[in-house]
Amino acid sequence: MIDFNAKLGHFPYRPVEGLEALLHAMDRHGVEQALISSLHAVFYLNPQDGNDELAAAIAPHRDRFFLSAVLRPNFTGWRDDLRRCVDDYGARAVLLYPQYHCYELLAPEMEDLVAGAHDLGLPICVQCWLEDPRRQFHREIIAPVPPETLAAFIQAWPQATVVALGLRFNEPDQLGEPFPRNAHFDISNYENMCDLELAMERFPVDRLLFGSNFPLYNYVANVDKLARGNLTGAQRAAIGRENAKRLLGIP
Amino acid sequence: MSLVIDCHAHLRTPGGGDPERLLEAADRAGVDRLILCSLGREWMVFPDAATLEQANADIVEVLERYPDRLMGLVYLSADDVALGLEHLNRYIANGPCVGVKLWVSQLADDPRMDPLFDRIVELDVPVLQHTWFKATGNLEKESTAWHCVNRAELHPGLKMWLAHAGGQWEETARIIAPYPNLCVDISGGEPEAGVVDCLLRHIGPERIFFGSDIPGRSLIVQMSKVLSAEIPDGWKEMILGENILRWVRP
Repeated sequence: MIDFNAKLGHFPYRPVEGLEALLHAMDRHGVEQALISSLHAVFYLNPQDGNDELAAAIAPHRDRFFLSAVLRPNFTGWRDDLRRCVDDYGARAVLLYPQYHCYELLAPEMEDLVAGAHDLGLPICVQCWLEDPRRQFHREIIAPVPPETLAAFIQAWPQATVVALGLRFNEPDQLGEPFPRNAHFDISNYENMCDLELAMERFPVDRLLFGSNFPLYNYVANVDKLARGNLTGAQRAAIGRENAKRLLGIP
Repeated sequence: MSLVIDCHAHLRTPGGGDPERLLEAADRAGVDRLILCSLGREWMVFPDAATLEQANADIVEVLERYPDRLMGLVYLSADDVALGLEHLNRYIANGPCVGVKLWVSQLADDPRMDPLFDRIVELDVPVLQHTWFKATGNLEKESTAWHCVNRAELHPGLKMWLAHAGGQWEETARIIAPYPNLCVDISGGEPEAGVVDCLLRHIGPERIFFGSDIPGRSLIVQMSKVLSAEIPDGWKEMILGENILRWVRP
C-alpha cells in the first residue's frame, strides 16, 4: 500500500506522534511507502525550512518516503524551493495550504505554480480540511478550503493533476458533475455510514487515494476504512496503491 | 468477545430502509447492538410536541421490528415537560426504551428540566446528553460539560453520558473527572489520534463508551478511536460495550 497523505512534525495544539510511530504504523498495516509532507511547513513563515527539515529526517528511509513539497506561491523564492525539493530531495508532489498561507487558490499568480508543477510532472495537492474549526485553538478560526473554490481551481487548470486532501462528507460531490477528469481526492477525511461503497457509486475508482493524515488522525481509521469497506479486490488495490503509483510516477 | 454496542446512533425515519441500512453498517463493522434515538425527521432545534411524539413513536416502531439488535432512547424537551413526563412513563416505565436523549433545545442544567430529571433518576435510566465546546460558538441551548456538572450536582444519582466527549475531550475529561456518574461517548468528529488515550488519563476506562453518530458518520472510522489506542484488550472490550451495559440491559 501507499499512503498518499502522511505528515511529519509537531502540531501546535496537541501532542502528536513522530517518525518512529509512523514507520511502526506503516509496517504494522502493510503500507510500504508514503508521500510525506512537513507539518512544520504549515506554520513556519518560510515553508522551505520545513521541507529542508523533513528531507533530513527521512533521508535514512528514502526507500519508504517521497517528499511532498509545501510551497507558498506568495513567498519570494518559491520557484527555487520547488527546484531544490525536486532536484535534491526527490519531491514527487506539491502541497498547498491556501487558508494557512493566506493566498487565494484562484489568484492569477497561481498560474506560474501550476505551470511549474506541470512541467515537472508533479500533482498539485490542496489541503482542504486540516483541522475541525470547532476544535481549533487559534485566535482566528481557519476555515477549510470551500469545495466550490477547489472546483473552480480544478476547472481553471485542466492540464494540472489536482489531489484534494481532507475533503469530507459530500464535498467530493461538489467538485463537478461529471467528476472532473483531472480531480482526485484522498480518503482520509471522507466519512459516511456506507464508507467507500458510496464513493464507488459516485466517483471513478482511479480518483481515490488511500491517505492516513498521520499524525493528526489515528492510522487505523483509514486502514480499516479501506480494508473493511464493501469493495472488490481491484478497487482496494487501486485506492490503496495503484492510483498513487500512477500519480507519483512509481514503476 | 463481549457485545459491541454503539451507544449513539440516529434514526431518521422508521421506513424507507433506514433501519436496515443502519443494521447493515453494524454488521459490516461487527457491532452487535445500536442504541438509537430520533431527533425527529427534520432535526428541529426546538422540537414541538408533534415532533417529539413522532420521534419517540418512530423509535418504538423499529424496536419492535428488531428487538435483538436495537435499544431505544426517549427524546425529551424542556419546552414540553408534561409531554416528557408522559413519555417517560409510556416509553420507559411501561415501554421498551432504556434511556433518554437530550439535544440542544435546553441546557442540561435548565431548571425547567428538574421534574423530568427527578423522574429519570427514579426510573434509574441513563441520559445521553449532547455536548460540545465549539470554538466557532455553541448554539444558544447547546450544553457544555459544565452544564452537565451542574446537573450532576443537582441530581447526584443521575447517570449521564456526554456525547462527543464534549467536543474538546481534553478539557471535558478534567471537568467531569470528580463526578463518577458522568461518562462520555466518543462519537462524531474526525478520527483524531489519541482521543481515548487522553480520556483515560483523567476518567479511566470505565467511563468511556463507544458511539458513532451514524448515519452521519462511519462505524468503522469511529471505532478506530478505540482500536487504535495502545491499551489492554480488556479495556477495549469495556469501552466497546461492557461499560454501557452497566447502565442499560438489552
